[in-house]
Amino acid sequence: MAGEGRVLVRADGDDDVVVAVSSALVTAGWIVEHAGRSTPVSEGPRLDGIVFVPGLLDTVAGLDVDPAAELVELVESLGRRLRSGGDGGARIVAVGSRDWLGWAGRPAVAAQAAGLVAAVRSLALERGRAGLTVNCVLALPLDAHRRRHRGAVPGTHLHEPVALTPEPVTSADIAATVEFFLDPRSNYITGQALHCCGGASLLSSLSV
Amino acid sequence: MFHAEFKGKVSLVTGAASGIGNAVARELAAHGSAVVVGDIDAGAADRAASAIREVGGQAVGLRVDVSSRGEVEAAFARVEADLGPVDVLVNNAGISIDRGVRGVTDEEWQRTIAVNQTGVFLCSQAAARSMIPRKTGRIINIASRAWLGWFGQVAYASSKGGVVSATRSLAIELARHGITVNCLAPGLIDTPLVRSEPPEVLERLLRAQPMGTLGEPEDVANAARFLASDRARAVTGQLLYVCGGKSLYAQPAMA
Repeated sequence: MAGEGRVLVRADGDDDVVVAVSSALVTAGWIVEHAGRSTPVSEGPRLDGIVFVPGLLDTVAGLDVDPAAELVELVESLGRRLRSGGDGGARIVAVGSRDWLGWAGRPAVAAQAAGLVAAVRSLALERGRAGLTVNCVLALPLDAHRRRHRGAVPGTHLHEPVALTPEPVTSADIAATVEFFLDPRSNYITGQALHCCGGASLLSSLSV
Repeated sequence: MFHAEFKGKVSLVTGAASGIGNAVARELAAHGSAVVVGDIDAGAADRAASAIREVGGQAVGLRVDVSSRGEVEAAFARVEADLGPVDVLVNNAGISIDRGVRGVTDEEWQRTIAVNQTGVFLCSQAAARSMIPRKTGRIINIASRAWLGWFGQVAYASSKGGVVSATRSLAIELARHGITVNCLAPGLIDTPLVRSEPPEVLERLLRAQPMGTLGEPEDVANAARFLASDRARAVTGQLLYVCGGKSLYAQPAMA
């Protein structure tokens, strides 16, 4: 809605989400720079935002690296490129998983997603005075309905959480929420974990 | 600059004559919505609506005491007759009359709950009755970071805690009808109420907040616009703090 700067999209998975985020940002007028885990990023033009997509929505077994540590390293390595607080600051958005609330069959993903939320909150506390906002969007696997129709998680009576709203959550929904946090007008919102899951978070005590 | 994001939509914002509610009303009007400026002060509501019209927006003022079922039902009936059914409801009307646990009277407690909590219920119920058949709608409740608890605010914090809980229950119940219900929790926003704090108190509060700055009513308004939009159709039951990180940690320095 209000793209007017340069954003780095660091993606290590969740390709559909990355495509949707990039497309939404370009449409809104952002200049988008793409990077992967091995891409050198410490040098380059001034950045107004970072989107970090570690790939937690695609995986069942968990990632082979710790996304929380990856986010912290990314922010540190990009420090000199991020717009300073006196100049409007910069927005950082991570895409995580609703699994951080805990989920049967994906304990490793849950642990990594929870670690990512904790890293987001800690970075928000640490970098607030520097004008950085750090938030995360927590979504469902894009094939959540298909997983639910397969039946209960093996060894349990529990079925995959899905949106309570009429339509499944799409990559465009996730992209729109990412774009909201990147908006310069969202510069007073930090440390937030916003679920974009059609209400699938609501029956967990951790979700408030 | 006017945008068409909410063209054809009708938004009702309560407590919209001033402060955060007024910023939300102006934001929605600036993005194309017909806006009903609801407020208990009819004259102030009319003046606020007039100000929106002067810059090209579509707005009407309407007196409503959100704690009165009769006034709420009459207000929704009038809006529907004049403009059409409400697409976006922003429950912003609220009062804060806390004087600490030893000082708050029964009347003050009950009035706080009546406006801040019962008002949300009455308006949301009226809105839901017209939104459910249309299978669409947005309800946004303005709570407060204070629901987590704060010194001397037992009545206000309790009432806002009720708003958070109501948000989640309404979201669960209304989701299948395509209606989302979310909650915004502002922190230290630059309003006359916050500015009335002694400077040393305000400075101490800001020192305990990660960003160390006051927010603007427009910060809350921008978040409300997102939650009211089609872009947020998959976001429901959420509590989003607009507080410069105050929700993460806010222990003030010891006096």
